[in-house]
Amino acid sequence: MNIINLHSNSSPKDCYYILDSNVWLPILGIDDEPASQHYKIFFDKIFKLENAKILLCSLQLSEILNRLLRFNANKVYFKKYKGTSGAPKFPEFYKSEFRGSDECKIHYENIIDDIDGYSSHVILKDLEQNDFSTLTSFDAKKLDFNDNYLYLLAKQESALIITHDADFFGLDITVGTYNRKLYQSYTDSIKPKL
Amino acid sequence: MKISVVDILNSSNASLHDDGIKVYNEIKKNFESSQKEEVEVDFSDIKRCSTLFLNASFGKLLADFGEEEVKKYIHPVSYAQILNFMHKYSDMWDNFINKENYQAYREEALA
Repeated sequence: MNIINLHSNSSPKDCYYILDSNVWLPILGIDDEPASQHYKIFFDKIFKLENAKILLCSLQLSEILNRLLRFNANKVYFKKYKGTSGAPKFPEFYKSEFRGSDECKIHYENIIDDIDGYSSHVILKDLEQNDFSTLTSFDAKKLDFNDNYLYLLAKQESALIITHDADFFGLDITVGTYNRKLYQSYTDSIKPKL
Repeated sequence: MKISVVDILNSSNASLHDDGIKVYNEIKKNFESSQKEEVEVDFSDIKRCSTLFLNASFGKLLADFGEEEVKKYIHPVSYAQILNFMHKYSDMWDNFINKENYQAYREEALA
């Protein structure tokens, strides 16, 4: 395992990257913390390199789309029903109203347009070996199914995972982060015990 | 006063964070001058405009100068060729003015 502190090594290389979904989401419009600025700038730098590419698998594309659509549905629900009596429950609204609405269609088009706009540096790539055992053999206390899929893809393609979370900590892949705590945990873990 | 996005970026794509910052810096000069004037941000010859770009340019202007000032002085123009431009722009604006209201939804999406 290797963790790269992007604060001190912020220049991407000509290699494959996988962006954690929590790095993708601020790029696509859901932004909640100052840390995401660093990842946006790193994302920009990838585009300055001809041979640096971002791998995006169908599973992650699905996750990103679903999270963004749900976020936008929540906003529509808030504007339409906040404080009103007799409002449908959100799951009912999402299926019965939002999914069939023009608003959903436009949001979907916008997300796809944004991602498609990055196609010069984004490669759609999935696992070549995706048998049941490979996909499901992971420590469920540390990873979820999607994280494990990204980990396997990173191994397959020798890609670096860019993340702000500790989810990929302790795995035999290279992770790049602006998360100082995560990096500190790593350096502490490799210090020789006296 | 009119500023041309394609001239600032030397590209027909307004896609990246840095692209947005370049346009933001150009518009900001107007706010810093003693005699503010209305600015038309001209998107002629721009084929694509991303949410990331809009947040880094107009979103940052909103955060720095407020809704009223931006509404009064900054006007995007000539964007009809860009897919759903006004929807993306309105969405950026809506996210800004409802930042507190949408906080729980952001946290849910990022969890």
